Amino acid sequence: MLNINWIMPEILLTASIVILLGYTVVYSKIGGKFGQRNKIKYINIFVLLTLIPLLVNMIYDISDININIKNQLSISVGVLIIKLIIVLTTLIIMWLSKKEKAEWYILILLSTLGLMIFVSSIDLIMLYLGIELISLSLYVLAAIKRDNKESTEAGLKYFILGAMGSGILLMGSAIIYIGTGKTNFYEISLYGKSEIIIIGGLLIVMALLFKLAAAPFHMWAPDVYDGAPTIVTAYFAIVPKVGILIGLSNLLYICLINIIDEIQPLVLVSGLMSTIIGSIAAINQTKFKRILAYSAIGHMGFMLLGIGVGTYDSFWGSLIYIVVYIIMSINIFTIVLTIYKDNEKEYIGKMIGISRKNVVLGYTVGITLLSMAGIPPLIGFISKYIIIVSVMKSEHILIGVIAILMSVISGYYYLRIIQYIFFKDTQEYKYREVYGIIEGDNKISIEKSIILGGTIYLIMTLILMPKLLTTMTFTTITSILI
Amino acid sequence: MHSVLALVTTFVNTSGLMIMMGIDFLGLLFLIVYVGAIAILFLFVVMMLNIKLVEIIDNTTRYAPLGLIIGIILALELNYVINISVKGEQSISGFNQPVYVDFSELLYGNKETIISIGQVIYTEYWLYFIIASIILLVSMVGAIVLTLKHEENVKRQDIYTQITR
Repeated sequence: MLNINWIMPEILLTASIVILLGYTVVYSKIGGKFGQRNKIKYINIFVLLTLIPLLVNMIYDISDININIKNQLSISVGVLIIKLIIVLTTLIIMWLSKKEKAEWYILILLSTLGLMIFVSSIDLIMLYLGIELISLSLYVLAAIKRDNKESTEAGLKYFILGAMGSGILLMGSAIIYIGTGKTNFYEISLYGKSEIIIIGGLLIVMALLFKLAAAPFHMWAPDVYDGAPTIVTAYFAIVPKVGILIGLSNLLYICLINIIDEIQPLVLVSGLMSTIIGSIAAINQTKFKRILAYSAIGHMGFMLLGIGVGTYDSFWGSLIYIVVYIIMSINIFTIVLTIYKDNEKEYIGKMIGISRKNVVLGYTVGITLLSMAGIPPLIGFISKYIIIVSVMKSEHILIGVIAILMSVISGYYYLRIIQYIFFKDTQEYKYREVYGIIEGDNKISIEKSIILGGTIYLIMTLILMPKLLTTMTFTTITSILI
Repeated sequence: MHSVLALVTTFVNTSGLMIMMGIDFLGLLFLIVYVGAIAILFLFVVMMLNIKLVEIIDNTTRYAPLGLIIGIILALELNYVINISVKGEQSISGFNQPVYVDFSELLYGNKETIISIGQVIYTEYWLYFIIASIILLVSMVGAIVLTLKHEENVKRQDIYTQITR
């Protein structure tokens, strides 16, 4: 039974993309009042804004636990909440962008559409189509500054490695199809424990870990994050990870539920290696965006630990971690966009003395970095705490201990940046362009200050009243796992 | 160059196999798309790039043994697993023999491949079809974004003067 109402957001987004494409083609020729880039930005934001009430309405409306659309997509409360998170985050990142090309916004919308398809897919072909829609738009976005050498390099590298990842995913799907003759998740899960599903499942999970930039498959991440324009990096680091992580847990706990004992070590080892590499490899970096890339790998490791352990609590903690990670990443990338100019290399030397030039900005960076390191009164502490406690409870003591140690080590490079901000003398160091921040043209724009204020408020106070966060994630987890 | 030609023969073989199996439309499509477009494109690229063979051989042979070992291990594993699962030497929970999608149920009595593909793709699998079309749209937009340049000194087609002269 086809229930087309429940894929209304996707249909609306597709229609708007097609209309916007025509609109931008026409008005880029004509120019004039409606061809201005600023207007195009707000038109695109309006498209995403229309999705939010629709999704909220659907969340309140949904009565069944699980709605199947032709055995290819499944909609539940959890999936809708994840879609809402994806749309909201994309909206914020789009709002942060400067006046970009019209195609930039179209590609972001297309990749969001791919994510919305991906998180609700319960079919191997749909999974592949969703991930291909996401990654193809991301390849183009990485290379969008085509005159810039590094951006082109990032795009090419991401394209080649990502194509290999997609190939591995297709191979896994083909092997599962050989063995079972089915592509639907529920039908595959009926087949019990068989070697062919194990091998195919391992390959598919590997490909998804590759897309997440988890540890043994992380080598593309720092280069791509460094080379791409900062606003695109912010999109890379935040939005696709949410969707792909939920897609991965869908796959693990619906399709591969019978062979979870064989798949679990892969996810756990990958998560553990991610935490190790995310903390140790970032120590020697001098560019802020590379540090953030490694930090993203480390955070991804914690989320994977939560999903890999597979108890109710750890899954819940993992989802809380995602939300917390989104909040902290939006803040830190807004700061990167504020401090560094467009065509500038993001050396951390430029952070020196910010606390004396712009006190509020300095304290914002400091608090966010402490929160990323997981210092108790801030929000980053809750998520790490829940993950580690749930890992320990399910008797993976060694993994928990190593995760704590790596969290301590990663504190080093966050604290180093804080030392640069607060305690280094501006005169003794060779980078003195710090003065550009609050003088003249480089003032913090109003949207950036609103976003910075909002996220720092959440970072500092969410630990006092985590009811909204916990309830929301709890509902999501309950409906996804059942 | 020779390996691209070998690739072409592989595609031709595949399409021959498909035609012999009775799926004639897919076989011809394979021939048109892969041999006619992609392999020829590869050939052009190889011809135009003028790669020096010696450098490539120097660089790649270092990793060849490692790749060979890993490849052989993977091939043996897959062979073992597929033998076990498909031929049914182990019986696990009664679901051992794979049951593929029976397309003849979906065909409404048609025997020709092209008609049956058309009927299935527009009814049962329309979601896949639409999403695949969106993916093609992405690749088109991407190609235009990454390559189109509005240079000033290039003569452009002016449709108005063209049709009024």
